[in-house]
Amino acid sequence: MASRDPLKVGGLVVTLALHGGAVGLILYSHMRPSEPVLMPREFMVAKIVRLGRKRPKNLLPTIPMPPPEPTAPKEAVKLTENEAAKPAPKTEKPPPETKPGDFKQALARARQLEKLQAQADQEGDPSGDPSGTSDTASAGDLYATAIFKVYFEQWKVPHLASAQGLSARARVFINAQGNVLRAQVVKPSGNGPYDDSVVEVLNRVKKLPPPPPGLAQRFERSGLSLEFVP
Amino acid sequence: MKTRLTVVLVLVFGAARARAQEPTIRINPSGAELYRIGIPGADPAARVVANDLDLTGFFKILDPRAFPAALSNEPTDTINATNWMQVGGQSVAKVRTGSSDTECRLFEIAKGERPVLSKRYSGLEMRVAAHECANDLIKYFTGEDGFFGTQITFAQGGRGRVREIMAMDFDGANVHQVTRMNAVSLLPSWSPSAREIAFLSFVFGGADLWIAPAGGGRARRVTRSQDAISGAAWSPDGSRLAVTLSRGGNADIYLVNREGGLLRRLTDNGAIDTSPAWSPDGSQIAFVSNRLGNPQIYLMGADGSGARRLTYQGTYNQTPRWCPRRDTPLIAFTARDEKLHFDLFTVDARSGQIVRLTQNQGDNEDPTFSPNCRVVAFKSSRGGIWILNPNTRVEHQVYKGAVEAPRWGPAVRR
Repeated sequence: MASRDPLKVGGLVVTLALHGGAVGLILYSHMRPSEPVLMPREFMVAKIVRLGRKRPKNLLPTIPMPPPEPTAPKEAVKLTENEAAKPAPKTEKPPPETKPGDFKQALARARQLEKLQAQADQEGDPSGDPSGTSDTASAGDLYATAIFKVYFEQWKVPHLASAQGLSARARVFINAQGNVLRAQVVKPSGNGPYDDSVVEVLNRVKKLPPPPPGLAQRFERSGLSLEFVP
Repeated sequence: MKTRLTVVLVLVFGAARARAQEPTIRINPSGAELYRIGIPGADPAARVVANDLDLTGFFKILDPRAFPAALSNEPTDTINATNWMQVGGQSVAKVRTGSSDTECRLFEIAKGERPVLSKRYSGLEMRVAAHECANDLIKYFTGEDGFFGTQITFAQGGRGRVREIMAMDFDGANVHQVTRMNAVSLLPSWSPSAREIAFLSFVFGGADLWIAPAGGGRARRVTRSQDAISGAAWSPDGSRLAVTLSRGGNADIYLVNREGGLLRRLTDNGAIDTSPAWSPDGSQIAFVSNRLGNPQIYLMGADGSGARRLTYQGTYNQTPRWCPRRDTPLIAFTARDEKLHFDLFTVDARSGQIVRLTQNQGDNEDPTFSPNCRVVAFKSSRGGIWILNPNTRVEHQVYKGAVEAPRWGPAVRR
């Protein structure tokens, strides 16, 4: 009874050490300052314009003017007539001697760069804004955005018909490749110049992004509904 | 039977509902542009119409010299839409002066080869008929009345000892003398009927208010106190005039009747109150006052009540002129900016928001709205009278002589 089993003692020590370690770890983790929790949120794309200093409120407003186009100087810089002041003529350096191994290394480096470039190209959406990043993207229907972009860029409304409240509806029929088969105004605004501008842009756009799989047949048969609003 | 009807109705309305809820992509324009219109032919009426539309600042008139013969020699009752599209047209107006009438036709190229508007004006002088044609075109395009055929009055500028009141068609044609006062005459103002013009004249040494027939003729002296210091502003009903009188050495705004009888004192302030301008509904008067230091635009009721400051930007704001449309509470005025240039601005009479109309084009003063408020005429240091479309920023010079205080006359229906 008095004799103790050394194995039992060792096991007890190990058990105590393990439990103590676990308790210590828990206590330590509670003592460390907690890191801020990142909540998922939607990023909004901000449009920042450079206006310089803010205009004092008591001054009259100005008409924003585009910056002047850069122009070449009226007179080219005159070189000095003093021969001594002229820079020494450039002597072309002879090309470095190449060894057969250099070509192999250069080829391997080029291949590596090509591989990296291909990986970089895969990033993001091929139709996305090249200046954007994943942080600046916003949720929405990508296909609708692509269609909007095509018509937005090509549609200009006449000043004459810039009155608010006008709206014209159109239907565009496209095939699986995105070719416009037919485009027509289905509900004109009633304002001649406004409707003319809509007809003009409908006639001008011949190609749209191919529709997403599953919608191609529907867009070819029933068309895509567009509303042109100022 | 009832059940079948219900089923049919459900199907019909269900289908309509499904159609209405179909996803639609809303497209916005990336910008605005001038509307391209071709007006072929050397007919003088056609050229007047082309000039009228050009002066609005809304149109790009296609150069008729660039038209191929096939377009120039087209019959007046049809167009070849494809050919016109190729020269960049969106519409075509054809105007032809006959022996006793003038024809005016409009074709919208997108709508085919038949005219969308066809008018004939009989018994009218060529320019009058052409202006009527331009008015009908604008009415077709915008649903609004045009201002073609209206007149602008002004005082002769310069430093001469005799400066008469003049008038001209809005496009600068038919310049004629309204008064023969043989004295310095200033600050003309149209009556709402466009039949009379009130003005100041120094015939008897001091400034008196006078009224003359707009077509020329004997002027009538309205005030005899010789203390008028600014031009009159007719009330929209034509029964009263708001005028600045300097009584006891201080300028205040008064109401007088057409005979010069004093009706009411509208302002009673130690500062200078001047340049009254009526709102189109006759309920308010805008004026200039320096009661808080600098000249600023103020508003008050037509009885002088409730005066309030309207402009808080700029240090020298003057010559307020209301837009004559009741649905557009806009006042154009002249202001001096921090670079000491005089330029044109508008202020919203409700919100007080100020918008600049001119910039970096010399000094521009004394704005006056066209009757439909789409363009503004003004005096410029570039010379004479200019017309500006604030929306498109297109401007044209319509008169080159020295002028003071141009005032656009009301549109009078024929």
